[in-house]
Amino acid sequence: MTPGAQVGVAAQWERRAQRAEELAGQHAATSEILQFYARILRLQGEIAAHAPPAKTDAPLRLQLNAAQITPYFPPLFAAIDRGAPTELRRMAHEVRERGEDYWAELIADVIQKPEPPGGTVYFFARVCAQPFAEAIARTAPRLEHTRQGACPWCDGWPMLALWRPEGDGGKRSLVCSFCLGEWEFRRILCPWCGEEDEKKLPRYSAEDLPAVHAAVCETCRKYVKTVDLTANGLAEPLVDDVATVALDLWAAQYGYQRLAANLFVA
Amino acid sequence: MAVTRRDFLKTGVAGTAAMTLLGFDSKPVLAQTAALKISRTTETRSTCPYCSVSCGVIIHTIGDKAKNVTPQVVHVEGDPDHPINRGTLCPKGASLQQDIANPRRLLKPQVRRPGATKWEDISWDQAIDEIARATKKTRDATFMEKDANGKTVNRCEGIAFSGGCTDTNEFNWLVVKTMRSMGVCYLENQARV
Repeated sequence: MTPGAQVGVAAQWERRAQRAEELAGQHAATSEILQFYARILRLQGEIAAHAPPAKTDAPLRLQLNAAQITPYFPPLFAAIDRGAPTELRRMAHEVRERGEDYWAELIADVIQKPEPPGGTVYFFARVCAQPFAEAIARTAPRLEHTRQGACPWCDGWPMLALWRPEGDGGKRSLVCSFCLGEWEFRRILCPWCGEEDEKKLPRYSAEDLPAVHAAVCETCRKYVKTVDLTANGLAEPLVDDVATVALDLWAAQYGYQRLAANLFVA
Repeated sequence: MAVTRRDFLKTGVAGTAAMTLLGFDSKPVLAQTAALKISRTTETRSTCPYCSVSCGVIIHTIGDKAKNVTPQVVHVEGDPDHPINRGTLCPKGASLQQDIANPRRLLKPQVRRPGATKWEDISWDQAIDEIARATKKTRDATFMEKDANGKTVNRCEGIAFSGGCTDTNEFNWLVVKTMRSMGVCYLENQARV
């Protein structure tokens, strides 16, 4: 069971969608992206409602297969046709033309790799696989051996960090880029390279983007975007991350690489 | 190696993914990025100095490593990973930031005379002078060489010393040396952590 995951699956996705709509009104720069994301999140909620019950005795990634997931590509293409930038519509058209075998190939790439594969073409597979993986992450057994900093259910790399209230401080947990599972992780420790020297682990934040920061490692030059729920308990991590993409662009300009991509930026 | 159209579709876009935002207009986001006021904060683990519970704290220091900028402590947080306090702090511990940076900190000695209602500023020279005189007078008056049984004790019962939790180790060392040399027994320097 992931911390904070007791709420119903459908309600969770709906809450994310509502947060996206709310933030679209507040963040002018990302408003268009968030309105689109709200529609995607509602679609993911529908997918989650149809996800089969998870087994408790098989590793998460082995419980997923492309055949379950490909049927959700056409509704996604339809949603993209109703309103998305030209480039994404063109890509959706091209992927649709290639047919189900190609979709299965994309899904297999996403299912097999610990790090989300980059590129717009994987957007479709990630959107459709995410609700399945998240539903399973709630009941799947923990893996016996995982790398430090990797997801204990699927060995995926963390896409986000959260600070949840613990006493008067913020307890850090990481959120998986593949199954959205959440696990606790020590503060002042790089999940990628294990750096512990506090002088090499600064965080960068911006006044205009409260309650998020980039937790940077000067040793491996990677960073984890962090959503601070002690500063804003109303934040929906997946959505607040996308709303504050300006911070990711800042980090990219300074040569920092995001540990794992969200759906919109690498 | 020949790159097929299929492979190209998968890898070709990867490099620019961060900037294309799936084809959404990145101009407003880039404009927002350019206007961001970024600050750099480091987090340092430490131990609360106040009592013997020894709660873990994380000290947040802001400063961009530039030579002309003095790093400033902006927040002290209970360390959520610390096994003793798990992120909690008592009201004193929670106000530690003000122990480090406080505009009300006294920068010169002050004295409140017997019967007075106000503190008055005095110079360091005057303060040391007055303390030395009072100490000598009290010690001379209350020093005990032998106790009631005729046993040599060499103690000064008229003076007590009370330290503070945030005193440094070095300061406490000096306190103990000074007080013991004068025969002071009632000595509490609050150095427990």
